[in-house]
Amino acid sequence: MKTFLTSALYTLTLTAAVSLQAGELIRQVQQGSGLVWDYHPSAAHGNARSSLPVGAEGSLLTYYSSRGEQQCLSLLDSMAIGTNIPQVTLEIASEDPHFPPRTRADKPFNVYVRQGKTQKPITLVRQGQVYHPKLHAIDETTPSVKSQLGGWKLKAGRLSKGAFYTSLPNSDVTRAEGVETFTAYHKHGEKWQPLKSAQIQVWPVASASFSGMQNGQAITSKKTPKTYVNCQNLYPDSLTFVQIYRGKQKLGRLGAVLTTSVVRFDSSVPQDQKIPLGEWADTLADGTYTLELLTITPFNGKRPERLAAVTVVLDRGMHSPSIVDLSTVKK
Amino acid sequence: MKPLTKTILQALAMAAVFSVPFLFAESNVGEEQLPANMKAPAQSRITADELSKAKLAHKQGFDGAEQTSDLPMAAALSIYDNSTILVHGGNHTVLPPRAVLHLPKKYQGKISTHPVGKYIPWPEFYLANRQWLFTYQVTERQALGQDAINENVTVQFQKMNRLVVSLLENHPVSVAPKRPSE
Repeated sequence: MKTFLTSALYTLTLTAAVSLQAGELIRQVQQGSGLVWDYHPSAAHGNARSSLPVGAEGSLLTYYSSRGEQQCLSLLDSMAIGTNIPQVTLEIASEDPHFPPRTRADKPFNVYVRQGKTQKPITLVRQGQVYHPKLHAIDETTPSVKSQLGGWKLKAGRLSKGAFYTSLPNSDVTRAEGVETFTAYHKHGEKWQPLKSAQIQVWPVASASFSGMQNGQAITSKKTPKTYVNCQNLYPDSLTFVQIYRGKQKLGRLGAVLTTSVVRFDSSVPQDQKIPLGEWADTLADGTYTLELLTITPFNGKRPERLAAVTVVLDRGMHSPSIVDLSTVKK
Repeated sequence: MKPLTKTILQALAMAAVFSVPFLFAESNVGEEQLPANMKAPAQSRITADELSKAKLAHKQGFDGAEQTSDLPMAAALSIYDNSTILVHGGNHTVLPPRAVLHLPKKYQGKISTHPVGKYIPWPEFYLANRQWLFTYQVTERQALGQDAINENVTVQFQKMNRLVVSLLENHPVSVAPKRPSE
């Protein structure tokens, strides 16, 4: 039986919530015979006839892509097709609307799974793979380590929802990164048949530190000391900047933004960034000031989060009224 | 102009120049990336201890589903775990397993156990490396191991000294070993 891939491809595309792109890959694995056929679309849309029969035991279609800065292929979606294949829908979502789904190590994500009205038992399996902290990808040069993170037996005909924090291991839980995969299986005798998979990438919580000045330090030189903010793992979709206000550090204050410090990323992996602060103190009257590094991500209702703060005292004998006085900055 | 007046004017001019970034920041003008209604930070970066406690307090699992330990073995999640990987010129591509029909000794180094460099889709990879790659269209029965590939063809593979990849309808396919006749 020859079968059009069309419906399956479109189903994958729809599930993926993005259009298929040239250069991506759909692999058809015929269950039973184990034959593998790699379909390379030449355009972003269109029909394709599968050259492999679906087979008596069905076929598994898996959609792979290497988008953005990715060097290697990664799974976007997969589904089983064929007669007598239990129907399952499986979706993962986080506060970040990006596709493929992604979240942060400190932000839970939701998994929605619905089994069709079949009495066939379906088991949902959760697996994880840790990313290399510098590559921000699976280190394909070493044997991949897959952790079995859990399994659930689903009930027919109903929607199950689960909310999870990542279970990817790391000595510092805020720095966990990798990919979690949920796969629905049908157990046929002693044989497990994959039906549907969905993944979510997990990125570490960003961190930052000021260099060139220390908390409580008195700055007596008329020349602004060379100061930087060193940022690690800024979220792929983030806006990061330094704000300054008069007084000691207190969470919840709104200061003036050092506009030259603003860094915007729209990427597929976390970013490291060294931000020079320039002559930030030159126009300030003497007094106590706090500099805070803030980042805005899709999380927390897009409210800024404070990654680092430092309070310093400017004591240079400069009190000219023409110098900007941040006490006028709105709070 | 008196020196004192000149100094004051210069100071005012300098102050105006240096205050521009602050004035712009305050009014969110001049920096397009910043949101129109800047809000104050509501929280600091979470610590490892805080996150560990939050995770402990969180009830993980599915509503309406029961946990089970009857699970399949951890499956290969990466396509690279179940592919033939070709590498050349700092790039790589993937083929189905058993899609290489002929591998001359001189090209054994083109097959890798892991990807190297950037992934290049097979059609592009083939076009860029036709001097050492050759493709051969197999039938569905040959791919399934029901028919053997003609012996004359395999002899030709030996002579041409190129790495041969099997295609079905112009896309790479695995070829099962010929099954003995029943």
